[in-house]
Amino acid sequence: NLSDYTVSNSEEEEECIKLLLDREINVGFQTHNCSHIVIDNWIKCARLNAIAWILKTRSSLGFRFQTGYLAMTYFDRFLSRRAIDSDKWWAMQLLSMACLSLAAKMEEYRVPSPSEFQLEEYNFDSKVIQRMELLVLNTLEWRMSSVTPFAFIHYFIRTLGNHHSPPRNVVS
Amino acid sequence: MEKLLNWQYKLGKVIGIGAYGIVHRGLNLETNQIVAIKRFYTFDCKNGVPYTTIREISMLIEMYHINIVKLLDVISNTKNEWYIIFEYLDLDLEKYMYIMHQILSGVMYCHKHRIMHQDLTPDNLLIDLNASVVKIADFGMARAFDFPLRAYSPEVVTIWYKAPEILLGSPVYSTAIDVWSVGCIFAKMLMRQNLFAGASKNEHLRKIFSIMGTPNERTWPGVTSLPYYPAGLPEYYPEVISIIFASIFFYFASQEMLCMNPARRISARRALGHAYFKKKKRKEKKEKKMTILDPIEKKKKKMMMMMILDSVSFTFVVVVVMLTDY
Repeated sequence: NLSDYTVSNSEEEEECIKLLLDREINVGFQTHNCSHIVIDNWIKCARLNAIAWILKTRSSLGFRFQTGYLAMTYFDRFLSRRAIDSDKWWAMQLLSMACLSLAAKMEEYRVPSPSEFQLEEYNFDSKVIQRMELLVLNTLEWRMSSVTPFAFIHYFIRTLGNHHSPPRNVVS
Repeated sequence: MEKLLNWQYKLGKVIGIGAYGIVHRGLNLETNQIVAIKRFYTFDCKNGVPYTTIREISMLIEMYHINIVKLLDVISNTKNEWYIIFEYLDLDLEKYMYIMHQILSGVMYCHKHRIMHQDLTPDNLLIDLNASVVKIADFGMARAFDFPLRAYSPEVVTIWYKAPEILLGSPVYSTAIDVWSVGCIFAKMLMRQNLFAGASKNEHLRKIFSIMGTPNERTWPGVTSLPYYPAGLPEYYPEVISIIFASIFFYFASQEMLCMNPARRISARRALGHAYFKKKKRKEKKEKKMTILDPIEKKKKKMMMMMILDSVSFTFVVVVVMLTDY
């Protein structure tokens, strides 16, 4: 019985969810800090490209949805703290690659080496990728275990839906 | 040789060597605080920053609990070398018996925060001898989990502390694996040797079964269809562990923390609420008063007495049970 493997006591689960909410709010974006950031068209366009690339690479490498989502939050958090000069497309590419690699290291069991993440236009040296990973880690102050909506989905499905456990593969 | 790490920290002698790095004693020159400094082996560029480093730092950075080792700082230098600064703790687990309470509350804290440690072994538990506090360390194998728990990599946890569901190749496992490891550590503390110590996975399983009994569909529904459930194994019956080790203390551990069926294994939270620990807590308070006057020796004596008392009372219980049975 699968529900035996989850936290059995609903009180404990409620407590978990509360802790998760607190953490999500603490690590999340603080809009008052972001207001000064000028989001110009270049950034918007580059961000869309990056998201498209992350989603595509996620599915081709067989990563979970959580991993893709996490990579995108790293990407956004990074840009909310550090600016990338206009027209530096390679830097955006490198950033998306580092974010996906870091998300995979947090979430996946088989983590391919970053050089397996193929990029169409640029070919980065592994040393450069590692430097970028470290830059992202430092910029995000190593707070990489962000809470994603995926952590709440099963709880909400169960609470809203007659207290039956959802099928295991609702999200994976 | 002591050398300066940067303007703030001085690197002292090596106090531990692990799979991913070396731990030094260190000094914070600003505060004069003694610290532990974990120096990572040079990263293999091909794979970037190792996932163990990322997980360890990112999990510890968000944990604040007296029984979890405290991460103080992460620093790097221009040569791309990375160091984690931890609070300094003495590395000896064997001296204390009531540390179980502390270990369990640390484990419970992790589980409450959706973190499975996955590699609880005696060398990942550190002790502050002055304050008599145990801290859980080494989160390199730890991971966050979500509901419901999905298949996790089976190759975690040092084999001697591995739960049977992992050894049997169960596709799903849970926080119960940490409780099993704690049960094994608990047994080791009492016996000063490993309760189950097989050289290979199969031998290890056989050892577990020979003491805890071969699991079957009745005691653990679904066990016979697990991938590595060994065929043609002798039907061992559970040994009366209490007779082997003669202690109620251990009996509690073996029955509930070392329950083979992960679904029935006690949770860290429930184990903490166990009558045994309630009793323990009171003793702890008394002992704290004692330590001021007389440190380790008296404690040892008292523990020996407790063990003897436990075994005496247990033998008494066994005799009574036997008498009523026959």
